[in-house]
Amino acid sequence: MGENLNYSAKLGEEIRRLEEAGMRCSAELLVKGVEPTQGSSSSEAPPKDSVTAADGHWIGSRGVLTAENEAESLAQELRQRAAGAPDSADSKAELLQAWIATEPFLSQAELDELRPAVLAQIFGGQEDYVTLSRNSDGAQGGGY
Amino acid sequence: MSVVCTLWVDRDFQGLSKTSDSGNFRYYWNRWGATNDVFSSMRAWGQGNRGNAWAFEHINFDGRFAALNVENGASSWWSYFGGAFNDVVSSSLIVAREPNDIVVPLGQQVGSAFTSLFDAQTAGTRLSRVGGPRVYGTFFPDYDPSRVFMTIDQNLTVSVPSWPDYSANVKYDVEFYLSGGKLHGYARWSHVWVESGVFSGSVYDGIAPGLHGAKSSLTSAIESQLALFSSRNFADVYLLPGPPPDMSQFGFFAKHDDDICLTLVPS
Repeated sequence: MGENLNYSAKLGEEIRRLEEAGMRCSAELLVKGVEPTQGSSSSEAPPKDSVTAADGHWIGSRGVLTAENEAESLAQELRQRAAGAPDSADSKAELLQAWIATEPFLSQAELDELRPAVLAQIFGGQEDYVTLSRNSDGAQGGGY
Repeated sequence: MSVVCTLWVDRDFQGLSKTSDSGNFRYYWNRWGATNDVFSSMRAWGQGNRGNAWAFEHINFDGRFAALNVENGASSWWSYFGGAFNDVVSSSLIVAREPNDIVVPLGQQVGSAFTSLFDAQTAGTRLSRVGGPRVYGTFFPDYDPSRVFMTIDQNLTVSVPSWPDYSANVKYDVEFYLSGGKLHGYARWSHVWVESGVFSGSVYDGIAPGLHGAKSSLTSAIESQLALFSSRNFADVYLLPGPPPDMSQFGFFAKHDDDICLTLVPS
């Protein structure tokens, strides 16, 4: 019985034991037996002072949301913002948001062109990548 | 006031990239849908906050991870994840932290307390532990997507008279919160699983009510342990995945179930 079905070793052993005892497994029992049983239960949340702020996104494919001409327009706007040399925290934050919005839609050439200038404007000019660690898997990293 | 993190497709910060900014949020997460398993380098910047960024092997902020630690105004990076972690990232998380937060690793203490409680409650039953519990962070799960938990994950064996034992598992998701500035915790979720088999449903019916019902005992035990903090007021509480980040180091590799850190901001 069950030679052509993908039963687990445990279920196969259980069926064998039942048959040895002269019992036949119903189709319903066999169907139920191939799946684990699970369930969850939740408690009501007590009142809190506040909810810790969180945000996030599921990231799909690159460029799926923007047409080509719109991507070019975004890249041009980013060039203008980066060339404007933002000097306040607010203007740097605006440039960062523009970069985050535009980055997924840029071509490799546009990324190579814009990334160094934009990151330097936002984070300053310390782009000297000092390697501080290396492990047996070749991982390399650092910081300042 | 944020922590910013960029992941690149190629090593040495080359190729396509995606930048995330925590903005005004404590946590900022990404699940990398169609763009998973492509990243090779990573960099984080502290822009008004200190904080940490993690890049995880699996989609639900679990598995192995590469982490970066940044102080306010500083930057750190993995210019290459290395052969063992290259092209595996499927989710990432930023936590913007406060300068004076208190980091408490929970794994060892919670595991020990849970073991004592569980053994006392199941003595003389057909239920027994298989090893000790794993204690780790569960971030924004599908079944409760706005919350962050400390999960206690215990493998079990259920003995059935004159029959092969059944493997089972129970997980408890514990949420920490502040009320009146005081730290509290409660077991919000319980999840019970029983392996497949002819009697899977019957075994589940036999053990699930007690295991689900144990949330109240677990909550009492958590509140008792948190009494240690009862004399202090806090402004925020949050969780960090894995072992405590050493902020004097730029980064580290670990696994999500190596530990979980309760992090408290004094008022």
